[in-house]
Amino acid sequence: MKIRSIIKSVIPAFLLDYCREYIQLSQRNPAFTKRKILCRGIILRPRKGNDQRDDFVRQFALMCSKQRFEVGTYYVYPFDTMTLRVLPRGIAGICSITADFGKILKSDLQQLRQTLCRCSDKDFATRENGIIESIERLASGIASRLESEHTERAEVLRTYFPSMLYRKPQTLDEAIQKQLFYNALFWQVGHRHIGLGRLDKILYEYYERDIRESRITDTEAKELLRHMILTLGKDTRAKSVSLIGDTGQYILLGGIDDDERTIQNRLTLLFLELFTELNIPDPKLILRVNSETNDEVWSRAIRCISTSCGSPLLMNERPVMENMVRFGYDAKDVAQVGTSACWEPLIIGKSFDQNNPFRSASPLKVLNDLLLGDNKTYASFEELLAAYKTVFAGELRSVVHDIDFDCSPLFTLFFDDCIRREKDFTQGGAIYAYHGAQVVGLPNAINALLNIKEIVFERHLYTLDDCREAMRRNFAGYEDLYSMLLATGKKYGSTDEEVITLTNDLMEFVGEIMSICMCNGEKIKVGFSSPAYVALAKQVGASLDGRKAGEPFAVHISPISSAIDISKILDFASRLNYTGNRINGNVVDFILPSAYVRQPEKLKAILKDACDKGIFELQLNVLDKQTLIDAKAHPDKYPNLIVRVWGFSAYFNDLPEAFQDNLIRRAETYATA
Amino acid sequence: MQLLKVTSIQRGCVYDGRGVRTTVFLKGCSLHCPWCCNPETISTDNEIFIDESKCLKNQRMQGRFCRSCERCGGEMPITACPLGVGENTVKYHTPEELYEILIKDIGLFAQTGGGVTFSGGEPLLQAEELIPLLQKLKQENIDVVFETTLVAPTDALIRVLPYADGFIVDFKLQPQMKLYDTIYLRRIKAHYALLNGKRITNRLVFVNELAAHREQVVSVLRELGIERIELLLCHDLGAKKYEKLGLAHTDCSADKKLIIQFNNYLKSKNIKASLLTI
Ligand code: SF4
Ligand code: SF4
Repeated sequence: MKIRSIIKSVIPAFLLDYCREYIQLSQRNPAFTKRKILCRGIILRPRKGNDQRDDFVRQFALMCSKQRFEVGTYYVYPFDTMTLRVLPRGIAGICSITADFGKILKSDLQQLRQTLCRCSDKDFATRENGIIESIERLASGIASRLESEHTERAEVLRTYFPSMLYRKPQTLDEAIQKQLFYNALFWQVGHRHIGLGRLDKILYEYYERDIRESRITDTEAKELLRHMILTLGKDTRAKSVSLIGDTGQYILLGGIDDDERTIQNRLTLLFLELFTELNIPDPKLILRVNSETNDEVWSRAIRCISTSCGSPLLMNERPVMENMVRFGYDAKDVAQVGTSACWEPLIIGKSFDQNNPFRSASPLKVLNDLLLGDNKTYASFEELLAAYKTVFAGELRSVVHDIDFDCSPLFTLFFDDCIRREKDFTQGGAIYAYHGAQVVGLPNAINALLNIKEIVFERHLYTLDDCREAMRRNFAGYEDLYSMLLATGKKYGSTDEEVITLTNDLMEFVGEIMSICMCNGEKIKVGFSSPAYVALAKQVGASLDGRKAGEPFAVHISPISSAIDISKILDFASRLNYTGNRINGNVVDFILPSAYVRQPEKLKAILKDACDKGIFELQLNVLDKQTLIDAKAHPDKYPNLIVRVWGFSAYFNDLPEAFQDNLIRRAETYATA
Repeated sequence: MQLLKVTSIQRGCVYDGRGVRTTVFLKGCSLHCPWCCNPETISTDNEIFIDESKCLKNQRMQGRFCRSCERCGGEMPITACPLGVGENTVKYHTPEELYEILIKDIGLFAQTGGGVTFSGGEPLLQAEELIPLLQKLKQENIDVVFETTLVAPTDALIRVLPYADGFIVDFKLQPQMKLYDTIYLRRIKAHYALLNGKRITNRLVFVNELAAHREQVVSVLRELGIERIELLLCHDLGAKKYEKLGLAHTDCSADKKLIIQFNNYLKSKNIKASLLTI
């Protein structure tokens, strides 16, 4: 801390910014030397005094004229990892948006121009026209580069650039190219976690027509999709937000459409098949399931999960959609539910919901603070619980605050509501801006409370002061208490009524407090899954769930006891109450012993049953502890070992040690379940 | 009310038999197979699992709660140890309680053709106590399978027959069991005949000693009219449990090569044998 402030006082701020920007560029491009980055990096800084939106347009124009792209690849993907758009100080970037690529594919820039002519806000129209011009400039730049390529593929691509900007794609191949082109632009302007959306639904009409008119075969279509997936995955490092792999590029499959019919077509199967074969961490799949999801889709999904690539995450769409409507989303819109990169529901093409912009609330930290801070004696567990709720409420309120977000005249162009309202995407253009908060480590807090209740108040084995001392000493000299905390009775994840009641009680409480919090004038949602289970836990001392100082929290909705197996945790999760505002992602996360993979039919039945009973979402790792231990010791033997981390998949070798160890520990715990 | 003596209940079993099943392990068995991997199910007494590795006394420590523990001269039974050092092997359930646990997965049973498997121990030894539960399960049309050695009173088998859809019959032809006498064979033959019309899976735990008795095995199987059998390689899975019960045990782990040879031999004698891997 001290060193930091000394550096700050000696080095001028602009130089610090400069360093920071170059560090960012070199993190995105680990293959390049510092010198190369200094020479080649293009940094587009904000201009002071400009309207933020105008400045965006200016930066975007520069980007489109300066950026370098390759044209020798199967698809042209104009994302230059060496070009960086810098946001003004204090402005938060936009994350995890899924535009409606179905509409984008059908978009015609000429028509959009005409629509803009009719706008009453001329500044708005000028800005959007500026965006259109830049897109056109980039596309014609690509076209002229393609002119000089003398390959068969370049010849095909020349027919798309720039014509595709002004028409609905004529083939699946063109549709994929157009989708990739715009996707790359969203990344290039510095938006992160760009979701791909419902590609089986969106691309099907092009696929179907190509097949019907015998333009391509099914195998050729699969090959095109393979190229698309690999193109999206080639810049994983530059796209990753925190850990490598955390890009938020999800392809959504299945689920009902506006007409209530479930999408399950040949492309749904092809995507599942491709991910099973490719076994790559990025992009990833999310599958929306309901009672109509057919057997073949289920079977292929199970096969895909069994490869341990972590895809697809299953979203049990009925409870998700019903609760979204109850919260305030329009019933007409929820059929187009997608997620924010990982699991937090939003509406594709309509949401500017930022579902993870706050620090996660930590119920365990608050419990520790309460116990260690007041030295009070409590007459009963109920009294302690009441005191706990008071401080927990403070923590919950403290995480939510207003945020100045980046703008996006680029998204504005492709979100119908923005043009209709003549407002920027983040400034009232998108019709939904329900941001979301997250709670991390609730399972640990529940276990700590259950332990206190039993050990201190029911069995009187230790006093609260003993517990406090043990926490302060990180259990040194209190090994007996430590073992007891881990061994004792009721645990999060069991279907014991007391456990379920306490969990639901606290979840309802969280919901209640959050319902009076607002962000930028809108009500917010809250969820019980969070990526912060390692980072935040580092700052939390020993706790009465039997956790030593700094050890990670439980991951989302998952057991931290070997007595709880997959059946129990699924039962438990289906009995939690997700109504009200408690919809911001509630994922059961479990590591299945690989024996389940040998019985795919039965695993399928277990998962289907859990959906019938009402879980919210589910992601699975299929791993053996032994493999993980070996992989940690001999990384070179396992270059392709993929694991599911919080809501994305990553190569095991790319993970920081704390995450590797946490996975090993969990695999061990669940193997005995 | 007759209580059922249960050692454990496993939901979501995917390895054993049709569909996804819930297996109920019942206590009590008249045989003492040296390889038994659930030794706590053999005796009908309530034995106690004692996990010495968890006990603080063994680590030369004393928790505050240890002072009142019977191990340290106090009153508290070891089964009340908050570290879970002592654990009762038997849990007593009324048929109603068991039923409530079993029907949790009724949807899953229906979807997969699964159901409930009564195993043990020898489940037939609690036939009488099981009847009210079996009646309730059948009212809900739940598939019921018994995993049994058929070494039980004939009456017991007859009592459960109307409710059973299937049987996994575990043959005891290993020389260690010394059951080649005519009494065992006669009884098994009679009991096996009663299973007519039910789904039957035949099973034999393979120990190395069987290799030298392969002709006898074939002749018994022929006599019983068995054409298909699953062979299960004997593993030393129960070691930790013997230790926790304070019982001596011998490691009967079998040789993979021998089981393959044995398997091939049975096949050559027109008995469809298959290796079951768990
Ligand atoms: S209470 Fe008894 S059994 Fe438990 S740790 Fe202490 S001495 Fe061992
Ligand atoms: S028959 Fe089964 S339960 Fe009984 S001793 Fe043998 S292996 Fe164990």
